Amino acid sequence: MELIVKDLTHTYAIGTPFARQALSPINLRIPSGSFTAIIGHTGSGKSTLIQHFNGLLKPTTGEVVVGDYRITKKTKKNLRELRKLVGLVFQYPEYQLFEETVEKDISFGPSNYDFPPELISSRVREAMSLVGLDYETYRDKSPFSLSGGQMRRVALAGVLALSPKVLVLDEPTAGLDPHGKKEILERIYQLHRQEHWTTILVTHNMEDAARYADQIIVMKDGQVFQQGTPMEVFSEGQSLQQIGLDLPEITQFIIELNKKLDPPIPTNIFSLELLEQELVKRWKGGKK
Amino acid sequence: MDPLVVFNQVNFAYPQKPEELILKQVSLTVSQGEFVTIIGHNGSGKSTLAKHMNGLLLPTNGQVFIDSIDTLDQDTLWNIRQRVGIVFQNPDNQFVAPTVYDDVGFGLENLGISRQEMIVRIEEALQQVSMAAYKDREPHRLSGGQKQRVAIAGILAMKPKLIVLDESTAMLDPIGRKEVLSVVDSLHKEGITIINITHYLEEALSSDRIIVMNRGEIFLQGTPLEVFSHSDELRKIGLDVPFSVEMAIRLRKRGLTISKEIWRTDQLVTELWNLL
Repeated sequence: MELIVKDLTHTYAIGTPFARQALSPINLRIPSGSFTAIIGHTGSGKSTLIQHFNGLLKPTTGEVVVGDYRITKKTKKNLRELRKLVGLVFQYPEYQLFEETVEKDISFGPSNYDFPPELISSRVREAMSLVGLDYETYRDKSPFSLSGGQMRRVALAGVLALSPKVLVLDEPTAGLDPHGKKEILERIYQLHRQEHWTTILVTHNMEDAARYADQIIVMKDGQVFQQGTPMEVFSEGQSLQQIGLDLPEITQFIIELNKKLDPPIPTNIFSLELLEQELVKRWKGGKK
Repeated sequence: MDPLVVFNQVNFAYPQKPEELILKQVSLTVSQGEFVTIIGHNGSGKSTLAKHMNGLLLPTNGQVFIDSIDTLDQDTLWNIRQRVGIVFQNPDNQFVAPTVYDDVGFGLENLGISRQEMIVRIEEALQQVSMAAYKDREPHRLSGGQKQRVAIAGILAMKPKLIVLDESTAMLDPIGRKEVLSVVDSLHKEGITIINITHYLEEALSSDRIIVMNRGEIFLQGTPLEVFSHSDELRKIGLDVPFSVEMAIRLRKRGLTISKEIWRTDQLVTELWNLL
């Protein structure tokens, strides 16, 4: 499902002395089935932007088009259907768990849509298997007895139980240990491909953006600062560094190496395997 | 250097689950002025270890000495708490006062020192973490990195010997992390002993020593070079090695002659310039 953002602005507390413009006119197209990473500093407007994607925030001016849905300042109706299609996973989603059992918590969304009990039950099973939680083992457990990583999977399953077509994730791995981080992201990426989701990932981790994204959107001061493939965004390393954002470690390394290498190593290498091959090739070449 | 922290064959289990040992026979020594990083999985016992360092948890068997004081001795527990401060993971869970200034002074009120001395210490502590300009602000309105710096100032006002960071940067954005780490670095240079518990391997690279925890035991310890030269063992317990170490290992396997003394990116870059 395609997302189009046209001339979107958002001002918080409009009409009060505390009014603050969080988004200046933003124009974006997020193609159906793509994986988009949104990066930028805290306060750059990332979270404000994504909350427009399911109508949680309404544009102050401009519009957001998601498939057949058009969200403007005046939109009041039909948001229920839109929210079924666009799943939004907040930061630290485990804080929103509240039910007595894992099954009840994941059922909460589908039951609000008055799904018949059989459908709810099958959706819960499906969602749990998608996030890798065994139904029989976890259904009756209290979500609060689980580890941080498991709680986060339960929260994710709660969103997946509505079978969204668009999945928006706001720093889904913040605060998890490296193992948990990798597990969650790999699973999301695998599902993204298998379920043909349109996936939008807000992240501070440049490695993840480089690894998973088809396109990267860089936000700064409520505007789109830069947009392109990982290679386009990261090979323009200087402009990112100027606004205080990091480059992926591997890109920093290549740029450092290139200071004394001619011809330079391409900066579109984002995996250790490929860089290893490239370096070995050069080394053999130097021997002849 | 004198040992500041001594763990002597420490076992720990919660009373509800006495059969489940969270720390098993942990013995370690941290010297005055050291910068030690502790890495390991969630559930490896890192945080339990940290909570033993100021008597928040007490060993089930064995002993912990801080500055030669036994943490099991209830009469001197407050002397330990004055010497050791812990900064926790969630910056929102550690504020008690309506302003930054009052919050930094909170610990001092229990020490029974003069008001004049308190004012001097608070001002000094806030300057050390570059938060003097924020002294009248409400702590909950600060950014994550600023909150953690205020938490550190609260510890500094107590004139501690040891600061323990228990994943204090895990919930911060990259800027917040850098702010906190640079404050910690400068405190270390001033002579305060630092124990940093973290998942970020690059934070470990600049420390004097790394301790790797696994299933409640010390799995490995040594300088960054020593620890990361055991990359296979680290991977077996599901831990990564830093980018530069991994790259050097891969290239060595392919026949490039890269020194085993390498663990930082800049070192690897220099070696490669000579080879390519």
